[in-house]
Amino acid sequence: MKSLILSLFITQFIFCQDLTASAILDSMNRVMTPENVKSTIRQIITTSRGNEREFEYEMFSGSKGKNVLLRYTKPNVVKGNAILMKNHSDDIWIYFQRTRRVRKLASSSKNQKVEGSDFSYEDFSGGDTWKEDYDIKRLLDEDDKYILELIPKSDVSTSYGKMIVVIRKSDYYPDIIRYFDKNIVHEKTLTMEDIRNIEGYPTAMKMTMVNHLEDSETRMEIVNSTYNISYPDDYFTERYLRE
Amino acid sequence: MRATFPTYTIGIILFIQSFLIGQWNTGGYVEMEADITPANTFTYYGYYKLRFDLEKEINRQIEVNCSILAKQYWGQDEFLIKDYFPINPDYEFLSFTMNDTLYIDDLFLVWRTESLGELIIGRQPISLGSAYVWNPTDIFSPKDNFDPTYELQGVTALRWLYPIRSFELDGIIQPIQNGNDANMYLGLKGNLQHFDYTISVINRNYEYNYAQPYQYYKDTSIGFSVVGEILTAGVWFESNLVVRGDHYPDNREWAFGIDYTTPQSLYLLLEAYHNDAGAGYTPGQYYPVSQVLDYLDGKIRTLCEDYIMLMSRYPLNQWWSIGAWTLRNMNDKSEIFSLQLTGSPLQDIAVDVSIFSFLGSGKTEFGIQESWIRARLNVFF
Repeated sequence: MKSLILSLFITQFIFCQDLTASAILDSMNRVMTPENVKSTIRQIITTSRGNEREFEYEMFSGSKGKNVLLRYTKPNVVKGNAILMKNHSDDIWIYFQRTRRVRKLASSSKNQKVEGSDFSYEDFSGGDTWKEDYDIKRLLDEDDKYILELIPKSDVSTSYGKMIVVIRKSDYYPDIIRYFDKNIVHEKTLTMEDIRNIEGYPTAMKMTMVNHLEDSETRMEIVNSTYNISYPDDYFTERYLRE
Repeated sequence: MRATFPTYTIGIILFIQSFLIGQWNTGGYVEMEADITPANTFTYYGYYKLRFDLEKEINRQIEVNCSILAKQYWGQDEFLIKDYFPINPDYEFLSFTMNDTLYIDDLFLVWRTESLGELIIGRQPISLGSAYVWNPTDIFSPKDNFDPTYELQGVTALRWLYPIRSFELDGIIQPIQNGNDANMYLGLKGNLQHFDYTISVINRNYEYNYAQPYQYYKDTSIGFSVVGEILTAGVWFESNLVVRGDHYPDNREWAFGIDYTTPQSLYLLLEAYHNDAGAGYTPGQYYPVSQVLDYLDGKIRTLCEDYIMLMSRYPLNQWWSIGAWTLRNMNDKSEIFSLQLTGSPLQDIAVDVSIFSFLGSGKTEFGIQESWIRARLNVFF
């Protein structure tokens, strides 16, 4: 009888932990993925030698992060270049202003750096698909933070072998995401800072991606951002990419 | 008489000033290229180029774009065709000259409406097709086979892009020089899962007869282009089949390719191309001079029928990458091999250093050429 009660307790405990992990991720996605966003972002890339380069682009995100369009405005060398990522970065097109050409990128390029930064195309895909693409496990809490471990399912195409997401209990906003490569070596860390409430959504005004393997980092600062925006039906198409 | 560079510069400055008064968005670059052929005796040549782009959004619907281009060559600027193509010695005198230029490369108006789509009027950049080097469906802007990503010259045309549900209709009309006819393109672009495809009908006019200028041949063809991915590798196919032609009836032209980026960031690309209109090869024979002239004039995409390009690129760090590519003429078995270092030493500065080596016997397309080093510097503003 004792063993049955113990067994039921363990089952219940495991079930609750799984459910909680999933619920935490749901809550995080609710605050992280508003329907539409338009932001102007300043990006500073620091190389391992300490050299800095500054970029600026406009980011248009629609359908809860499913579709993203980046259009560079600075520096001159990339001004006018644009990247369209659809279906959570499963389909990527790049527009080169200088040659006025559009190239479609294959999924094998998803893990490549975007304009030399420490963000890959895959990093822009957002957390909306994490629930279906990853096995999620809740680890021991750290003070006022939930800790989730995400392991990609075997049929999912991703360059990461594991992710650890640190989420604030107060508003379910993630503080830190640690990315591990296929060999479970800690590759990158994304830190969100200066979290402010903009139009009802918590928004990290500064995000820093540190690449531990290459000793480089990319800092993103939001110059302005709005969630009160709607896009035409055909906005996330090649036509708008060329504009 | 050649205009001197200071004359160009003064003209451009005056032009730019007039535009700046109207608060135009401006940009562009200065490009400097040096080429060295270290054959029996060194040959030096190159150019300076200035591109100045102006853009003005008149209102939410109308936008005007203008690009002014000035190019001045230095060193050797006249080249004998016989040094670059195996042609009959009777035509040894044929040459081409690199002339200094100052012209408006693009000047076009974009008019966007919700009900009528997008209308682009004037000299404009046009790039069609899905292939990397050879685009059989692009009759307007032939690429440089040695440098396929280089910017294309503007095309004087009227273009209409009209969305129909999830499709896009693309119509282009380019008047030809005699004014009696036009090159026409009508394409329907769609999407099926991870594949983008375009079906097109193309009407092209060729001025083939050099003895009688403005005499045109006409071809009507069906084009098809698709790009997508299979097992995470990018794949594309593009073809153009002439269904009614004065000059090349039943001409078939196609290209297919595949690219893949390894987890270690090594980028690999393979593209194959076939063109019925290309010349066949008979060992020891020269290529017909008319074929060479048509190729230099952009009327045919390649000199011969079959080619393969293989390319690789690897990032050394955020700003520098090394690459290698080879272009092989499958008919005469000659080949170009190139090593390339590209990068950006400072913000808004780009550098490209390439070494070209030519393999093959003396009477082949690439075998006749000497090795060559090219250095290119771009400063963007």
